Amino acid sequence: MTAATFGDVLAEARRHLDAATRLTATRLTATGLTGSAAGRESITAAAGMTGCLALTLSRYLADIAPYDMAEVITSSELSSLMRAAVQAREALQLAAEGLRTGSHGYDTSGRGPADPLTARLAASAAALAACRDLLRTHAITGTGGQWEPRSRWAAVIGSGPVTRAVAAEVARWSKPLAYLTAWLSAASQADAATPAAVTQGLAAATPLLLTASTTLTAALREHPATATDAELLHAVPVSHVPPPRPPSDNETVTALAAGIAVSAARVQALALGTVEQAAWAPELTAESWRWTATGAAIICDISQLMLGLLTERAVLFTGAPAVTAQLRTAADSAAGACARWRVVRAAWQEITTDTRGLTTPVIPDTRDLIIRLGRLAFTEPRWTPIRARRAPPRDPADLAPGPAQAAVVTGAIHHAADTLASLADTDLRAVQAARRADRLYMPTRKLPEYYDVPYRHWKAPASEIAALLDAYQAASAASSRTATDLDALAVTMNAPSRILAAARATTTSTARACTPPAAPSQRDEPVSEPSSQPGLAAPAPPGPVEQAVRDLGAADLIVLLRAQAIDKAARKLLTEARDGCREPGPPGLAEPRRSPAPPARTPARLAAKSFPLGPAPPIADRQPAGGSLPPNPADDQAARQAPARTYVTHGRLHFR
Amino acid sequence: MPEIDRMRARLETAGELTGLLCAAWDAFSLLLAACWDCEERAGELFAAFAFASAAAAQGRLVIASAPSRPDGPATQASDVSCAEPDLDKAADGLAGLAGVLGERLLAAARHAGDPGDRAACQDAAAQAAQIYELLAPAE
Repeated sequence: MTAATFGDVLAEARRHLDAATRLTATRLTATGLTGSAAGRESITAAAGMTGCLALTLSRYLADIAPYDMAEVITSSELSSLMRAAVQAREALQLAAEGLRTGSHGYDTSGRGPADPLTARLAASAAALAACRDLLRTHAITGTGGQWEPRSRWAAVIGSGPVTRAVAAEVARWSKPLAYLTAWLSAASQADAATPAAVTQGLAAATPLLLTASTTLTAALREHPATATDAELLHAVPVSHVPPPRPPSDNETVTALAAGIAVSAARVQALALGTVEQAAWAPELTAESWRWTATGAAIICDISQLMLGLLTERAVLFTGAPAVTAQLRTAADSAAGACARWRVVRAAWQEITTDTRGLTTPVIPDTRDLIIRLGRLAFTEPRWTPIRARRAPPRDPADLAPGPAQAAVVTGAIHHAADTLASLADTDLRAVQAARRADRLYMPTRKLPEYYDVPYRHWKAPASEIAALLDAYQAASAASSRTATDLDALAVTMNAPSRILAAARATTTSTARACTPPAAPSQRDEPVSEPSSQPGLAAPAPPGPVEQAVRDLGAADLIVLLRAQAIDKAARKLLTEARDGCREPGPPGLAEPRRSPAPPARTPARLAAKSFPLGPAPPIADRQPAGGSLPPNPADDQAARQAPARTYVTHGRLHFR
Repeated sequence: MPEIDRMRARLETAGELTGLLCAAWDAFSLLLAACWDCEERAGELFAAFAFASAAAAQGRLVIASAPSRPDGPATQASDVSCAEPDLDKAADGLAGLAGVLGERLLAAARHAGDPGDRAACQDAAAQAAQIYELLAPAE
């Protein structure tokens, strides 16, 4: 089972909105919405739900354009799309406020919506909000309020193509909402007993929603959202680490490929969490890094073998002659990456850490990935790396009897390559962190004789560490090259993994069209909270600038919105100036930030006097010292989502 | 491979712990160099030799942590390459060496007085067992 994508949830939201729109095609009198208390209640509820939809749309725009209106007015650096997004956001917020103010007091708690229209709108609003939540699962709010990525999709979501696609989606949604409010407005005006606030809110919402749509549509003419942009947005999956899927015997090619995708996703998520932990976490060991480098070399070796086998199936690709050449190029890249990973492993030959064991969280899933790749490549359905399970490679016609299975196999190799590109980068950063924390050692007997130290291990010389880091950098570059070659191949073959190509292209070659999204607290600040709060504030009276613009007459909505923003900015400035005049509090009340104490590192399983920093309990008993080093929340989240597994007993990783 | 035979004989005759640790260091070095060398031409056995090579490197590092391991410069056993052209024969020989190495280290762990020596021998024996598992032929 694959993770739900933005497109999946959006389709559900759209289905309900379309159903709601179809209901409005019925004549007003036939709906039963006018002339009765129940009808008035339904209009009120539908207005409120439409307000929720408008509010959610405004929040999408706040995500992609975290600027206020004053910046739009004063800054010359914002693109026309960003300006339009901010203006449309303001319009949507105003529409939402009016709609939801009128519906305040209509309580649906404890019962279902009164009529099909409201039910459809409620379902659409819930799904649309879930879509936004899905995007936001890829980042967390850091301690400083800034967004910190927790998956590689975070960069995709912040990219220009996805920004354009979101803007286009909001424009596409605003228009039917405008028609819907126009229809509801007519219904409310036909019944004098409808609350005035509802009627006013509906009447005001229609032009605001239309303005939002037209403003965005106009800007998108200059920055058009392509079908590829939309496809990328729709392909964003929920940030979810799938549960482990250990291989079972006699899996089909499709099941093997699906299992490889699961292992790949898990390895990437778990590896991301190791980067900051490498400075102190006892389970991040040289032995583990050496093992993963070895595993990476094996993955490259098997990938090269399979790509070579696929080139022998040229008959399948007569319609796309580029495929065979792309397969050869990718096979060569995989061979190059294999050589680079072997250099990494060699660089680890003499270097160790103060703890040992195959304890890094990525190891079980890397093992699964290797085994499944081997079972794709070789004829033994229970293949493992041990010699006793050796087998010849599959016949190319067995590996890829048709183009569809060739694409599935290519997709599996693509996932593996993508994972190695990511793993090389995360391992490099983790090893750098370990170096900064002085966790890298060498046996003293392997050091030059002028090292006269009374320990069995001493800090690895800078030259050895530099060679190790250089090896990782070369492996990272080679792995990225392989992944990029497979990107092209996956697109040409229409492999299931082709979205990885779009994601990589977006994050590597496209400069972001706007600044990274701000933290939710900042971005949601201008948006009033849901109407579950008692007593929504009445609309503020016009400020001096807005009043002056209104007095001039014939100003369009955008000009009025800008005037309101200027008034709002002025009020904010005055508030800040007033607050700044207050007496500061006495110094020293705030808890000073302490730099985290290093964990007690003591060699338990290693000999006393083995390492210069002294003896330690077994790994299972160890914690960061005094809890003084808080784990990265993203890492913590990843760890909770994907509990570590192990196949290791007594230092051995079992393959049988 | 005569180097393997000589190393097996040396392990089997090593007496006290210090001598065994020295022989174990050299045995792991030989396994490391030979597996690395075989890997280059291993084909279907690439994964087995690659993981065996990693285990040999770890085994050697573990031996280096044993308190009874005498100080002094390393020997040059790692310069040995795998002269055996037949990969299966090479794997058989290396698996046999790893088996003997693991047995001797486990026995030494049982008799070691120093906890550091005991832990090092146990962990190194596990690495030798891993190499054996990777390179042994099908039963």
